[in-house]
Amino acid sequence: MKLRPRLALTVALLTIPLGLLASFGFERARRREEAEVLIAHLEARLASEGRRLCEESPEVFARPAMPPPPGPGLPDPPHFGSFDGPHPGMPPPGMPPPPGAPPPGARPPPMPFPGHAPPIAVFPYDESLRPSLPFAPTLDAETIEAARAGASPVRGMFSDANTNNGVQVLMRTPWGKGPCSYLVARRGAPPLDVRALLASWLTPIVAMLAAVALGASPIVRRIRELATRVRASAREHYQAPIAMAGTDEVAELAHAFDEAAREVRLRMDEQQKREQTLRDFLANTTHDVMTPLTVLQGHLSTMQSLAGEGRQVEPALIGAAIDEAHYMTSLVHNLGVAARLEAGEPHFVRAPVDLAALVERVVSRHRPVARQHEVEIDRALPPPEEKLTIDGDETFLEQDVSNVVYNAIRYNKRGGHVAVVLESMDDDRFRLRVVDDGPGVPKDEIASIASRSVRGASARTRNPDGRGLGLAIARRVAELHDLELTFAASEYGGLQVDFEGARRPSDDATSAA
Amino acid sequence: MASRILLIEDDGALGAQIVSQLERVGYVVTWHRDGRELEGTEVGSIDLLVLDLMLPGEFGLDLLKRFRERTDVPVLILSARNDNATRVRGLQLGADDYLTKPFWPEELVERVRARLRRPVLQRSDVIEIGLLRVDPSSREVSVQGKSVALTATELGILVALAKRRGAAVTRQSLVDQVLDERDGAERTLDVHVSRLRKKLGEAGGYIVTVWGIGYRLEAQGP
Repeated sequence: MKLRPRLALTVALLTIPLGLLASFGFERARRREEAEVLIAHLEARLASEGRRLCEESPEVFARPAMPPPPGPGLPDPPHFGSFDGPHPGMPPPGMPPPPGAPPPGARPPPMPFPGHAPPIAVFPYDESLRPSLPFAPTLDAETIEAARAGASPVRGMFSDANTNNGVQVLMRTPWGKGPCSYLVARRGAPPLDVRALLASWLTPIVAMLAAVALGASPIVRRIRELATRVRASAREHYQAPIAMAGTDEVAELAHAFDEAAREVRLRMDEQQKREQTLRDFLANTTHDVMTPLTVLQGHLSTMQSLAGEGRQVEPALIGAAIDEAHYMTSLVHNLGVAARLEAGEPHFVRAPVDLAALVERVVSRHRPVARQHEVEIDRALPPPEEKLTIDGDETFLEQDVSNVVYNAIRYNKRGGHVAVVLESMDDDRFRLRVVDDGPGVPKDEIASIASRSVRGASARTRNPDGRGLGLAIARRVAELHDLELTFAASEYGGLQVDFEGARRPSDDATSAA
Repeated sequence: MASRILLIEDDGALGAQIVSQLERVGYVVTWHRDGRELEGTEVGSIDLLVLDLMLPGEFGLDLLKRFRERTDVPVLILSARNDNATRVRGLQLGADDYLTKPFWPEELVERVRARLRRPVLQRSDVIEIGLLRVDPSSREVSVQGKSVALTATELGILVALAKRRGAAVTRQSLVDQVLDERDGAERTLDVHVSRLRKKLGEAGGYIVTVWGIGYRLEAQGP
């Protein structure tokens, strides 16, 4: 349901019971007042020669005291046959007061419905509350009972064929004997005036509804405007701000929408960024892995055709295939580590890592590829009784050292050397040094090698300088483990890479034991 | 007697390769493709278990755990997963070493050898390498039974190398052990080593220069 009909309905639903309640109260007040009017009327009739008039000729007594007041188009309902509707206390000027009329100066009864009131009928009853006139109405049991109990006046209601909610009053005469022991005054309710009722009820309601409908217009307009703006913003993925001038609730609502939109925008941006990273990563990974795989397939295919032709397969060709396979392994490991590093806060499994064993594994893994490159690789470890361990993620650390060692081999020259030296230093620290005698890296490039990020495009593996992703990962992993990673020119002409950090304090206990 | 190795590997191609690589260097290999076979194996009949944590979940680790409860035969884990948690768990459950796939056959053989290497039983002090015999306590050195006279520094260098035979020892570490602190100590060390080699004659070649590190004492010199 739209706002306007809803408002109108609410108003109507509220007005109707309130109006009914008001009518009810109004009707009660009218009846109370009417009873007072009837009492005053009876008192007035009894005041002078009421008793004589009544006892001698009750019919005359019961006859309406006054002719009905002139009223345009007002019907004279022939209540109870013989009498007309007089209007008590309102004698038209110039007319002599009829017999039984209240004396001048008597209090005029109030008029609840001026100009519309039907006549008052008065009926005498004897001691046993039997009507003294044949056309007098029979009293209801409740009134009779109250009268017998001695109550006077007895106020009540009556209804007959013509009248609903008529007010009646029974009064015991001061003498209380004979045919006029009791008097009953009755007057029917004013006839229902539909037009008046419509005028008095419907008009204000309609006016109110119209006012509500019109008054709601600015609000409805603002809300519609807001809806349009929100829709427009949504169409542009909440890029445009949602704002409404003013300080009312609609402006507040707009502000709330804007805040919600900003939140949505933020989430969407984050999501998009993540998706983009993932897409880039997948694309790069695929490219990076597919290239060496293609090279490897080429080597294998050549070997197959050479063998098929019965020719010698050159060791260099096999070596190249080995080289590619090794490169791919390193790449896949690196991409796995990079994925973990790029997934925000890297998931660490910290445990004591035996560095000597780690160096042994790394060197042993790279021996075949070193041989292929005709590079000699060796390592020096602390004596076996001196356990050198640090707290860290072994997968990360091993890949870290692997990358540095692999680079030292790959970018070395034929007949070159790589040495890995792990030693403990003063102050519970250790140093893991990887040194080579390859062509090395120009001084100004050393700094750039050390500062590359895992994410950076320059970190991709098949970079012109070729040391991309591996070293970027090495740097990041070292950072995560509080290791100092330094690149320098080695005294042998190549590159010297040092990892330095704190060893586990428990090592002392181990080595002392 | 050749060492006996039990291999648990579900992949046919890889299993066959590992068996042939290990057999080529002289080991006796039994290969089971089903891990449950391990339960019925007489532990006294093997010297090393090579266990692939091939199956997802705890299966491989469960096998390892139950095996470890029965024996302390060394275990080398093969893992396709570059997954630190699995490795750490494997080592916690009593594995002695691990090898991440992919690996070179040479790498596998080296690691198997390292696991099977037994401490060499010899009199605590006297070190014998090929033709060379070094007795640190009596400060006597002989080559082919012939006594060689060495200076204190030369003897110190030789003993330091002999104690870690086969392993490269850094110059700095040798300097720290046998020389007083002074400038150019590593150059001085090289001079001492050069003299030592000459004095050792035929065994002089046992002292190998290791590029970027220092020296190593080994019987198969160049």
